[in-house]
Amino acid sequence: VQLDQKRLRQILLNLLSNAVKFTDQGRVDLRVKLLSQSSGEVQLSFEISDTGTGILPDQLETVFRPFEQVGDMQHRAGGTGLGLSISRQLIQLLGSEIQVQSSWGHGSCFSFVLSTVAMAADRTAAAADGSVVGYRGPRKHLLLADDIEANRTVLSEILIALGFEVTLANDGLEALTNARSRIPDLILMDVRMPVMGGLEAMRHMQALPDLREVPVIALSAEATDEKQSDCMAAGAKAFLTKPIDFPTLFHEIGRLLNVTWIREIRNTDSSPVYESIEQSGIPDPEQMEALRVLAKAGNMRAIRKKAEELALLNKHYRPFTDRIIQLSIGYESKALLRLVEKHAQPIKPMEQVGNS
Amino acid sequence: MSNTLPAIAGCTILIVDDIPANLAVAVDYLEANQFQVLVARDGEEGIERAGLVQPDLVLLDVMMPGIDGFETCRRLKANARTRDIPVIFMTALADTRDKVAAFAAGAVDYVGKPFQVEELLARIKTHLTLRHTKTTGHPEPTVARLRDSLSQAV
Repeated sequence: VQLDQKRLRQILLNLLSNAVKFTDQGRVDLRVKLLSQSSGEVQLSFEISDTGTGILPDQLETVFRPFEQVGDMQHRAGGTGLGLSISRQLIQLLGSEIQVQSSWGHGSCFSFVLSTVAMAADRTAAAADGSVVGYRGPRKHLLLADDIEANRTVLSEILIALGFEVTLANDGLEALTNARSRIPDLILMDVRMPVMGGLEAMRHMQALPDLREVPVIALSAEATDEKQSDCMAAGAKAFLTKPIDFPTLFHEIGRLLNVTWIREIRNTDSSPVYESIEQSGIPDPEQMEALRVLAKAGNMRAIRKKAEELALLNKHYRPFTDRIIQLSIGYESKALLRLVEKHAQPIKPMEQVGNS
Repeated sequence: MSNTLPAIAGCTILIVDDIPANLAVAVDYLEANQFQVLVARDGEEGIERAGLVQPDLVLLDVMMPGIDGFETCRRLKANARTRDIPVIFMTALADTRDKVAAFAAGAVDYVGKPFQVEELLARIKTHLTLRHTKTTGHPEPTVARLRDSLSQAV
């Protein structure tokens, strides 16, 4: 059975650390079950249960929102609240959905089912745009504006893995500033953001000759016709609702940038979809440790300098060092540390999980 | 204040602010003035970073998501590793109560936002020198002279 080991590990670690955080006494269990096995398809269920504080029924839905944490203050103080939100998005990325059951005071159980066919060929997506691994032609520069860190992280990681250069913005004003200083090929714009919302930012762009022609994909949590027509009137070329359906997103990006996607024909020995940075492009452990120390200290200038040195050393490091440089320029100290720590240990691209 | 005193050249300053545009102004100016500049985007990251690196001075924004600047400062002052690091608030708040709250939380000074970079630099130099004086035991007159030079610079 083949799984995207890195992503699965990230999901399980997030869910387990969340369970541990909310459990003062008792236990946290991880159960993996083989649900069904037929030729070419194996279904595995994953369950993370705890005997912790539990979740009130009316909070079961909000628990997955970024920065939303239930429980008392003592527990709330501990984390950033991104873990569950990121886990849900990663699980959706693998073509599944996370379930939660909980009784207040007795603990919670988070579960999801992964089908290896869904992962190997991404069944839902594969029909249309599934196993996209990159695109042909010169490198394109995308600007992503979203005020929620989890959304920026997940989406930018995916786009970077596909070979895009991605600039991030926390709000419409920052998007506008970034776009003016360097015109992107395409903009992904969240509608609802503080300081300046997506609609206002798009209207400003329409008024600027340099930015008028840059296609914008509006992203909104509100799936109403009204919101869609507002966005299109403000200048958006496409409208997607959140949570983002990735095949649709790829389709729109492909259409607006007029790029041809590279699709992977998979067999059992193939490599995972999101691998581009992971494979050869990561500097050796010693260099990574130097980057990690600088990222820990939060010294943006020093880390940028180090990344530039590494890029000169080996051109294969470029996607990785570009990303580091870009984060350091945006003072994204947290995202930077996360990125460096994620790659600081050697990662095996694929591993056998379960029975096959 | 055109010459940086030898004791403060190369000092490390940690700036905690959630807005990249604000960071950009301060970071560029301070790096141009020979400081090592570290950044953090919120209070918790700032506290962790301060504990790890033990910078010579912390510049702290008041209004941030998560724990605010006042609480961040209190936590820095409650930790033996970071207690003695001078904290200067950067605040858009004009309210006297907030200024008092800043000092009550343990700050040594504050600058109003948007700040004049020259003023910021002058205040940083003063507090770095004060701290240097404290730890090396130079007499009080140095402090008085620095205060004078600060009021001239501002």
